[in-house]
Amino acid sequence: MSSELQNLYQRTVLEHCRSPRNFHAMDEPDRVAEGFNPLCGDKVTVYLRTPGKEGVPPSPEDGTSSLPVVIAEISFEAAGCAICLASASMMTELLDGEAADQAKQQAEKVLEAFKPGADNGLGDLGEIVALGSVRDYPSRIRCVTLPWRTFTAALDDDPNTVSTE
Amino acid sequence: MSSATARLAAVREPLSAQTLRADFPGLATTVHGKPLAYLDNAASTQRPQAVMDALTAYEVEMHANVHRGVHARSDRATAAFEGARERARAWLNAASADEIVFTRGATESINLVARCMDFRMDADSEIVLTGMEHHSNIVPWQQLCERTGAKIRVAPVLDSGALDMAALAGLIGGRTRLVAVTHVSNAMGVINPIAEICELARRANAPILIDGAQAAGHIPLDVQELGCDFYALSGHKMYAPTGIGALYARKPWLDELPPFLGGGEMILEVRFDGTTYNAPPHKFEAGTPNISGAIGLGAAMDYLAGHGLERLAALEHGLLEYATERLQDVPGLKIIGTASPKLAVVSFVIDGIHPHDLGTVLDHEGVAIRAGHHCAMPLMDRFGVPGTSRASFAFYNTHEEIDRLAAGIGTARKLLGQA
Repeated sequence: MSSELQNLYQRTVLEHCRSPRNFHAMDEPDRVAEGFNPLCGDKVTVYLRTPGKEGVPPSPEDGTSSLPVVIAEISFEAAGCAICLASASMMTELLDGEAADQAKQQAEKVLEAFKPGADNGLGDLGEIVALGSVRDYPSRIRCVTLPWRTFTAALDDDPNTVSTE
Repeated sequence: MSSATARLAAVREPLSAQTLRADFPGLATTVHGKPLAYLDNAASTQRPQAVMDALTAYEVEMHANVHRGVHARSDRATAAFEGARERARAWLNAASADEIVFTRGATESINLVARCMDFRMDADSEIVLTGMEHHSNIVPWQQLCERTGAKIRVAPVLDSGALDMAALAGLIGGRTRLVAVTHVSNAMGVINPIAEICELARRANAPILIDGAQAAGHIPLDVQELGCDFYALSGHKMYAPTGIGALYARKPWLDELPPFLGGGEMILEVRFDGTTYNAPPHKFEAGTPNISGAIGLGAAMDYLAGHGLERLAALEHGLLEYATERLQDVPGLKIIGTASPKLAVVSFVIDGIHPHDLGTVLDHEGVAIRAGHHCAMPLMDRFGVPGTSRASFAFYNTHEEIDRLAAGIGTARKLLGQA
C-alpha cells in the first residue's frame, strides 16, 4: 500500500469514519441545513441548537435571522465517503459549544484552506489537519468541504440545499 | 500469398488484447507509478492511433470550411466530412446518409429530438421512459413536459437489473406520443430487448428513440432491423473524439420536425421577410460543424469494422465473465445488474466501503474505475444505494488488469473495511 494512500486515510480519519461523533438527527433543532454533492450523491444534514439571548427567539420567523450566540449543540447525518464522514465528525467536535461567530470564522478558515492553490492554513484547527493531504486529490476536496459548507448554511439559516457545484 | 489472401489470413487470426493495445498509445502510460489499467470505458474510451492519425491528416491536408468554399481544400474537407456521414450510415445501416445528423454527442441528439417535438405534445400526451435511463434521456423529456403539459411514465426495473417488459407493454398505449429507451444501461451494462420494445411502440403508433451511447461501439447495429425512429450515439464512447456524435432519424421525421438551431448551413435562402430551410440533414446542422470530430468518428468506425465488431465484442464478453467470477467471490460485494445479456460492465457495492474511497484506493494501484451515481440517480434510488463502483471494459483490457482490480479491492477492504 502506498504511503500517499496511508497519509490520505490516516488513523484519525478512519477512526472518525468508523465511529463518527454527534452522528444523529436532532429533535426540533433551531437551525438545520442540507448539503448535497451532485457528483457522487453524497448527502449531509447539519443540525444546530442555538439558544438566543433572553427574549430573542433563536430563529426569528420574520426573515431577519441573524447570527446566533452560541453553538450549544451540533449533530449531523450523512451518507458519504470516509473523507466526508470524518470531516463532518471532526467538525462537530471542533464546533460544539463554540461561540457562533468563532465557529463561523473557523468554518471559513477551513473552506479557505481547501481552495485550489491554498497553502497549509489548518495549523490550529485540531484534527482537521489529518485531512490536509486531501488537497492533493482535487476530485475529493468537495468531500471535505461539503459538511462545512452545510454548517455555514445552517448558521446563516439558508433554506436552500447546499450544493458542491 | 496474394495480398487479399494475406488479409483474410490476418482477419481469421484470433484477436488478442495484447496486440490491440499497441494501437492505443494512451494505455501505455502510468498512474501513481503503476501501469494504467483503464477500466472506465463506459465513461469514455481511449483513442486508437488510427483516429489520431486521421485527425492530424485532416488538419494538415484539408482543414477548411465545408459546403462553402470553391477551393480545393474546402472540397477535400467536404468530401471527408460527408464521407464520415456515409460511414456512420453504414455503421447504423440507415437507408440514407441524409438520415444522419452530426451532433456534439448522444445528449445533444436526444435534446434535438426533444426540442423539436413540442408540436406533437399536449396535456393528454405521455412519454414513456424506463427506470434505468441516463439523466440525458430523462431531463430533456421533463423539459418538454414543462413546455407542453405532457406526462412522463416510467417502466420499472426488476431486481436483476432487467427492464420489466410486462410493465413497459402496459404503459405504451393510445396516449403515448413517444418512447425513449436506452439500448444498454450505462450504470449496469444490461442490454434491453430493443427490437421487441420498438415493436410495442410501432403497435401503439408511437415514435421511439433509442439512446445508444453505451451500445454503439460494442453491439452491431441495424436501425432498420431494430425498427427505431431515432438512434442517438456519442463518438467518445466508441473510440472517437469528444464533442462529436450522431442522431439517426427516419427521413419522414427529419422532414416533419422543425429546425433545432438557426444559423448558417441550415438555410436555403434568408430574407428579413422570411427564411427557407435547407433539406435534412443540413436543416439540423446550423453553423460550421465539428468537421474533424466527424472525420475522427468515421476513422473509429473504420478501425472497429477493420477488426470486426463481433470479434471485439467476443473479447469483451470474455472479460465480463472473468470479472464477474473474480468479483462475486469478494466478501460483502454485491453486483448491481446481474441480468443477461450484458455488456462488459460490472457495477457493484461493498459493505462498509464508499465507492469514492474505493475509487481513490484503486487509482493508487493504477486502476481507473468510475465511482458515483453514473448520471442515473433514479436507478440508484431503485437499488437503494447513493452510488456504485463501476468497472467497464473494452476489448483492449486484460485478465491481468481484472486481477489488479480484485487485488485493489482487497487493499481497500484492508484499509477501509470495518474488520
